[in-house]
Amino acid sequence: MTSTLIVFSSAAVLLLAALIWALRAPRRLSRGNFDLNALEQPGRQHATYLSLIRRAASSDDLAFLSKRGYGKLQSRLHRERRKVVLLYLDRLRCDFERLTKMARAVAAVSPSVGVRQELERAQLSFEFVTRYYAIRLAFGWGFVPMAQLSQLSQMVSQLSIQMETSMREFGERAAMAVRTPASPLD
Amino acid sequence: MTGLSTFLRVIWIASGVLQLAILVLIFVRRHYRYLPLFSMYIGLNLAQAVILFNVYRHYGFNSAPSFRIYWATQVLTMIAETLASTELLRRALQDYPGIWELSWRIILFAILVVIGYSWTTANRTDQWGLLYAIRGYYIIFAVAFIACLLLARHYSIAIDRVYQVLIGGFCFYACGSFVADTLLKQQIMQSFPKYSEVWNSSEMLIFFVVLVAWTVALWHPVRVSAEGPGPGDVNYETFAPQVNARLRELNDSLRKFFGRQVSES
Repeated sequence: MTSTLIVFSSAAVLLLAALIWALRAPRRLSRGNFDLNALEQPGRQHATYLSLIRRAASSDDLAFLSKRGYGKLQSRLHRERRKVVLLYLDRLRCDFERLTKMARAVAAVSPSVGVRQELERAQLSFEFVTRYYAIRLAFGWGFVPMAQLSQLSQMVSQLSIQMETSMREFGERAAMAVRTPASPLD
Repeated sequence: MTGLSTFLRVIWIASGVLQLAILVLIFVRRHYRYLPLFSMYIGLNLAQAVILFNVYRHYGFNSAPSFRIYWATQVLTMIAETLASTELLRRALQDYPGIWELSWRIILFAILVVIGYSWTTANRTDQWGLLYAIRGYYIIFAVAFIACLLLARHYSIAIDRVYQVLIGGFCFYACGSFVADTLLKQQIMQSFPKYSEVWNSSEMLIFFVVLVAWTVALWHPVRVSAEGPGPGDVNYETFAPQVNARLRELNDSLRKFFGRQVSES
């Protein structure tokens, strides 16, 4: 067995695995079976809780408890608040994923898909995931990167608002076109 | 047919019978109306088998004319294979013109890479030049078509089961072929007295498996187009670019947003 054979056989195995994965039926189909309810839900379901999370992550309450001598309570509160912030972070990621999925569904049924646009979206997703893991890592090391968390939340909010506007306009124009099929579309 | 082992003969005849069955299925089920290039590929393959049968009977399996005629007909079959699989992919993505637009660019890029690679390897003076070119073709074929299928998966596009099996069969054959081609080049294999037979048998076995899968798949009707209004509707064609423009704006503003965050930090 030479290295060439190992390299080519591994490549074949990887390609076949990719083929099987690609041919496996997706759970949500972009046509016919796409979850339309997902489009109606507000995209920033969790991003709106940022102020509460900011409060939960602040050290004022912990400092107060520490000053009063409630050491045990302080550490328990710290632990539980950390859990809440991490949960919030996870939900934020779900929001973002749902929004990008929505964008992909729109692109899938579009008669023309711009390569640049799609690459930009991929880059955006990559940036989000990088920031997400950086924040998680920071939490793991005991830091509370509140500024970064706010940025992430703002990013989802912005994405969501624009997606909602696009979808609403899309729906309104479609409805208008159905009502007046002969009139020129604005 | 001197030089051809019994096993190879059996598998060759079995493949021929299966290809004939596929051709009959194509005509009986009228698949040729939607898959003309695939039908042509099967027809060409069958014609190649008939020609080679006569050539091997006349010149023998291991003769120089047999070698030359095999490769000459093989080039035609490979061109037909590329066209047939591109047709299948176009059919599978017929309701998603935007995604098809991305896919054909990938395939075109792959074709250019194959031509470039073949041009380079064909200039080799040793006996392996042809094999390298063929291996390059199969690798790039597999990468390009699997990339297109991954693209479809990324956009959550469900490809019809028949097209899945047909395209998957081509990709599986391509993967198997380039491994078999690599195996043939190995020194350890060349120490065996009939090492070329291992290569022939493995390639033919893989093709036989693919043919069985295709026969089963083509028993079912192929999906022609989506039900209900499709993206080709006039209304959609007006709205979708606007939505895309919105998404572009969104991407731009997010990019600006990130730029500001970076400059602030």
